[in-house]
Amino acid sequence: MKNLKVKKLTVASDKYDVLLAGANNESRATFIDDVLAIKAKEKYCIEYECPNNKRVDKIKLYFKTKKYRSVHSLKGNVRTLLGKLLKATATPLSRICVDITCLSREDLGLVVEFCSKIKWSTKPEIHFVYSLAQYSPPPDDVGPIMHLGPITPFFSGWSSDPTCPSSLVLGIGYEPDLALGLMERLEPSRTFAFRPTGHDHRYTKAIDEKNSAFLTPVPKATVFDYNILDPLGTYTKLESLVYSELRDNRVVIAPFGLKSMALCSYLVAARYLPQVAIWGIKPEIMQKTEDRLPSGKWVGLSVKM
Amino acid sequence: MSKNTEPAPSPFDSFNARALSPEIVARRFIPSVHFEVLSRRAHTQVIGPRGSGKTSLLKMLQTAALEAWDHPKAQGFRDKIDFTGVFVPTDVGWNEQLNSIGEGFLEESHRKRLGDAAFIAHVHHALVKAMVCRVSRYKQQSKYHHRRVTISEKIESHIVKGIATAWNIESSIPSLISLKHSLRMRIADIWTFAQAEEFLPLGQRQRRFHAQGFFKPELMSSIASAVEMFNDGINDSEGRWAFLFDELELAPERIIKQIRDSIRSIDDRILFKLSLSPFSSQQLQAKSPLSASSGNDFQTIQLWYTHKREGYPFCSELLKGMLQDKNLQETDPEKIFGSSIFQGIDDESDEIKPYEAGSFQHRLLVKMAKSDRSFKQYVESRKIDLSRIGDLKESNRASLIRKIIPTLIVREAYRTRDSLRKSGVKQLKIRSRKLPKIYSGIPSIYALTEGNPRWLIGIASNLLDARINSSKVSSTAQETEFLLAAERFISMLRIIPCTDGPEGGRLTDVLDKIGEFIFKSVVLDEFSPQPYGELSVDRSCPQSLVNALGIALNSGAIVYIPPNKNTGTITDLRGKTFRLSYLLSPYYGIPIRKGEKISLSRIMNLSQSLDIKSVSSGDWKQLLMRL
Repeated sequence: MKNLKVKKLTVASDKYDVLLAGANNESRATFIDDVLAIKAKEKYCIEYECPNNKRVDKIKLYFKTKKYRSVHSLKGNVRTLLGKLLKATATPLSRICVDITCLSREDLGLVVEFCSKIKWSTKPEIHFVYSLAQYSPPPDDVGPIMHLGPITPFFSGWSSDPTCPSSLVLGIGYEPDLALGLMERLEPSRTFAFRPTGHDHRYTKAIDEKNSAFLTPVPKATVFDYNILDPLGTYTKLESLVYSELRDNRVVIAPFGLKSMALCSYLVAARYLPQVAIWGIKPEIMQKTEDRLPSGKWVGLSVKM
Repeated sequence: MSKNTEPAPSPFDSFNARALSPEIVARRFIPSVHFEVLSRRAHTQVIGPRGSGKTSLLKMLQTAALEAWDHPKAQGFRDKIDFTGVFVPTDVGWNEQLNSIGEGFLEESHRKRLGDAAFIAHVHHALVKAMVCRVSRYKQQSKYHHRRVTISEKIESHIVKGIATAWNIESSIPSLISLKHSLRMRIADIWTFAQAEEFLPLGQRQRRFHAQGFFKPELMSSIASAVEMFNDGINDSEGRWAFLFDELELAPERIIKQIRDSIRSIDDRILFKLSLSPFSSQQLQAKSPLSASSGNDFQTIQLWYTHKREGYPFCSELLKGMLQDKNLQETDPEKIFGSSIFQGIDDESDEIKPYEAGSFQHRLLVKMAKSDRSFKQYVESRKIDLSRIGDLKESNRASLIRKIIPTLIVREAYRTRDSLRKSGVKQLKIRSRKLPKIYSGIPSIYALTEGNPRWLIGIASNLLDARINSSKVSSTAQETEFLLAAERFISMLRIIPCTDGPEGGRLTDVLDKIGEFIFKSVVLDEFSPQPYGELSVDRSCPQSLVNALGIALNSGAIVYIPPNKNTGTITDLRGKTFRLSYLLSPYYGIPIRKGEKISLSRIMNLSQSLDIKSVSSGDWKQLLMRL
């Protein structure tokens, strides 16, 4: 079990060695940089292919003018970048900031993998920050899912006893049918759901509607509400559940929904490595044309691994 | 939750034998003809979709299950089964782990070696676990015994030392239990070894791999030598061991090949009993003429029912067992669930014989002849006198009337009167979204659940639990439950991609087209005594569509109609015939019966010009929410 120190982050530091952010077609991509005015020696922006080029171009230009080095998300560039940082043992990094708002879940997984593999004598402090979005209705059609499986090879987990029953912990969001589909695929003996609360009531209504086939017959005791404004609380709740489930089960977490839930899941998996697997979908569901505007609120976690 | 306890009942927990201990599986197990075949001393493959009971069958061959089994036929099986079952489970999660080990920093060949080594250690662990079950010293007192042996600690120590040497294991305490734990540790060590490689010099990797003990044992020779050592230790040199590989298609490719290739060559003390999904990738197909083939080298058990009636006896037994659990053992299932409308049993006029004037069939025929113009034409063209159908010879009645009744029942349930249809309206009219009240009762429940124990247990449990102060389960409650089950099933299937299918790119888009097409053929089109109900997959079907349908077949969403019985696994769906699972009949509004065959490409082409709003596509969801 990895020693993991997770704290609530209320104020971002004004000086980092490395800052990592993502640029897609969501206006909130620039919120953290804009509002928190984070300073860093090296700044990287991972750029994603997505529709609505006009807005994407504007966002990319923003990061360019703010002196971010762009890294295209394809062809293993992110893994290469993180690999270089990891092997920079001559100058170990002490503070890293990751704006997870617009990072893909796979890349966020690579970042947490990178953090867990750090073998420097002084462990860096890693600040994960996330800009919450204003309400936007769920997309009508999420399109076909080409891959459903471990989010990265690192998070495929490993069990020394494959005869153990499995427990599935789901974060639910706008992705309809995924919860049921995943249950069919994995055939867990126990399933738990994490349902986001604490935001615009329209979100709650839309999420409940989208997941009605899954949630309607569910005993309330297996559904945990989590407050999206309290990622530390979410991490603690999830960690506690996983700890108890691991006594007799293999655990798979599928953190659909908010990316802050995904972050908490990756951190819990890193803590119990390799006993916990993280599953997700590819391609990730992106809004086709609709924008995701910042709500003006952000949350953060400070992590030492 | 302990591994040896039953999971708490909840709609969240699927009934899956994999998570249950052999003792729990034995408690619910009902021996079928399949178990008779499986328990023979022969290599066997068990083929069936999800939930069809493959795992239960294999698990019941373990010593622990046989000893815990209390059933009138159990002792007969304990006497007959002259081998020791070694259950080797595999699942999707572990398969992903085996495939992912070392990905991103190790070469493919090294990754395969690690995956194979982990799987072999897993098989070794299962074998030692089965050995432990046979030694009386390790077993609690039980009422029944199966192949128990008593050996001294000295003999056990001798056996363990021999096996540990053969498998390159350092076992500090020479006991079977200790050996079992060492094998678990070995699986954990394999992962640690792989992770360490990411940061070690590439140049010496070959040497490090070569030095590792866990790469040394080869699957077949290692299990053969261990079996021989144990058999010699207990003075039973010819003792047989059956390796029960569950969901073998999820094992590493090279392991599957070794098993296939070994069926002919391995010594006759080792048997293989394999469970497989109906559709398997090419790797399971015997390529060499020397490879094992179905019928000659191994028996095949097919766990789905092409003809619905074949599954009724098993379903009936299973349901009776469930009623017994609820202290309703004296109750006839029909008294609780009622009879099926498709049986033609008439609740309102039980004094009147079927087909006589006033009977259910007669009233239906008369009603449809009045409201359905094309059916009226059918009656007239065949000169059927509806007032005298009771007098028809049985053979005539069967060919003219009886076979069309199920179609008419569905047609009547969904169709509005022709006179209500406005001429020139392109969208054909169907009845408002109410429950049709035709999908309930015995034996419809058996047919709708396809003889799939997981489906039957899941649906019947919910229905029995929902009874309030009443011994009967209403047809509305049954139909609602079936629609919920179908809705959940469709939701599960919605994540399966199908890029070469219709717009939308999902398998469910294909299933919707098929379901809507059959609905149109049965309900909306001119009356046909034999509407469409089966589909053949064309030779020209694109690969992604075939693959998606393969997953649908393995999930049980479509059912293979083979030309012969027990044809084994299918490696290509092209040129073969299927039907939609009857579980989807209420969802699409189609009969619980087979029908005329049509090619998939024709359905796809004709569906493009189809303009109907079917009963599917989410309408049921809204209806169920209201209910």
